Amino acid sequence: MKINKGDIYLAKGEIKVEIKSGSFELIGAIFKSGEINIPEGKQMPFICKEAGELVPSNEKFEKLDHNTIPENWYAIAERIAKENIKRVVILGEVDTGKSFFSIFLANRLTAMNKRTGIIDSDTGQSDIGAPGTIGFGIFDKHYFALPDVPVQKQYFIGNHSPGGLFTVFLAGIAKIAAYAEKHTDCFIVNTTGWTHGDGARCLKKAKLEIVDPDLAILMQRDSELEHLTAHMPDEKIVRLSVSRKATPTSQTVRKELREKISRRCFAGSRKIALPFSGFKFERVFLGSGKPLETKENEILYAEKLPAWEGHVIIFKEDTTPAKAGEIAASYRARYCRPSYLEKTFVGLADADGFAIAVGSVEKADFLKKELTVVTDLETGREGEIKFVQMGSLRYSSDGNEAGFILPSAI
Amino acid sequence: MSYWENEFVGILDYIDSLFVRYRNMEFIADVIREASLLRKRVPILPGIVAMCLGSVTKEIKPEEIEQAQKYLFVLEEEEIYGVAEKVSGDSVSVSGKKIGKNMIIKTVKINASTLEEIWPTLVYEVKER
Repeated sequence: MKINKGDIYLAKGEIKVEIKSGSFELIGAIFKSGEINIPEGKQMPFICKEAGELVPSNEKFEKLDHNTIPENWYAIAERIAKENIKRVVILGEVDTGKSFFSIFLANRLTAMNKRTGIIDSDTGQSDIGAPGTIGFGIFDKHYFALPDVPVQKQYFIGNHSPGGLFTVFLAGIAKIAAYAEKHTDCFIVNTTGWTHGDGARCLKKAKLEIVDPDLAILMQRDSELEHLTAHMPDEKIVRLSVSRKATPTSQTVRKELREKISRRCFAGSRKIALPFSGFKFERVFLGSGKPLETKENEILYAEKLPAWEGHVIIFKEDTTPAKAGEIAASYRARYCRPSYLEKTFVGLADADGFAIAVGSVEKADFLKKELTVVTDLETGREGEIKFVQMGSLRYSSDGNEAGFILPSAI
Repeated sequence: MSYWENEFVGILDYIDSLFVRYRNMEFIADVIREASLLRKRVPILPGIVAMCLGSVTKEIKPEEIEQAQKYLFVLEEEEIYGVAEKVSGDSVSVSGKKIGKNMIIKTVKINASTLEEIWPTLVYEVKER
């Protein structure tokens, strides 16, 4: 398809568009070649700067009569660069175009020679890093999709929502933000769309306190986000009207998008066996007590926890749930059978507590004292694993969501 | 003043509200049992449980009453909870007692499919420990 200079087209996912020739502005950056995959539920305008040729994979590609990117977006990027603004937080409800705007901003700033990073704190739709993590990537060049940005650091949350995991989530934000502070000229925090209700107010306020942004960008339809930044001086707030092109994404499409990310993450995965002696468990009581000899035949492994915390008991697989519950009650124990841990989503963390990979538990062997994990960890990095952080979700080895783990079970 | 950091309070608030809205303890116990089942199904997301609980009790019209289903019948002076043994055009028999449909102020059913209806993408098999 021949495209004239000045023409604007909108590609609606799912679609693939190849740039054959010419020059096109995509999300704030100029591209002269490449193939762009736009996923279901996303849209992308192509602004022709030099006449050329595009090859869309289907008909979801329509000509527009105006640029859908507002002029003030360009002005915000100019201001950030000119005033050397370092910490930017983008706030908005779901489906308000936060990710799109983050890429736009990072591309514009990169073009102005600012070393720019994005913290992707939307664990439900991790675009940077593995699913269920807070990811951080640096724009070493222009990108048109966040999943293509190389991951610098990721912090394992272990669920697709921060609900129920506030402290873990905020610890992750603090660690990643501290890293970003040291390694960029400017970093952008892309947030979740959870903006209303007790939990959201708690979390967003705490996140703003931690990041202490020089600029908060509110992507709102009316004034629905003002409560989040009421403590900030007006000169540190920019308000953007939500693009009419931002399209609502259904629960099902969101799950499909999440699973696409997790399937991609697990696609090249392999099994690794981790001896218990080589790492510490995190986010569980297991491993934090003293091993205990017990008389019951049903018990495979037991620990006494410190102070009043009781015990952790792992039962033999053939123990009935009723019997396990009865013995556990007599010990005041947190408990499970080994198979309960199968498919648990785990973060494999280095000595600094950053996840170097995520995985899914295939087997927890309490006789051999070994954990087998299906993971995409690069070969040769096994020795870097110092912590196995237990998540709240289950993933099958092909990356599909497979349920929840009861918090505090063990 | 602060915010609730934990959304479990939404579940407790819902349970509190049951005692204001209903008088039949057997019915209240069954609703709480449904809350407990929901909590087992989405243990990490109490906010979702609380959201689903909002639809656990479902008011139905007299013409929608079906035989062999369990309902709470709210009458002027009392609440009767039980299985509709016999349903006719103008009455329903519950626990051997015949209730005229014109006496029923409200008929309430426990909906055990709220997670499937409200958040189907979180429906998974619950594994035993």
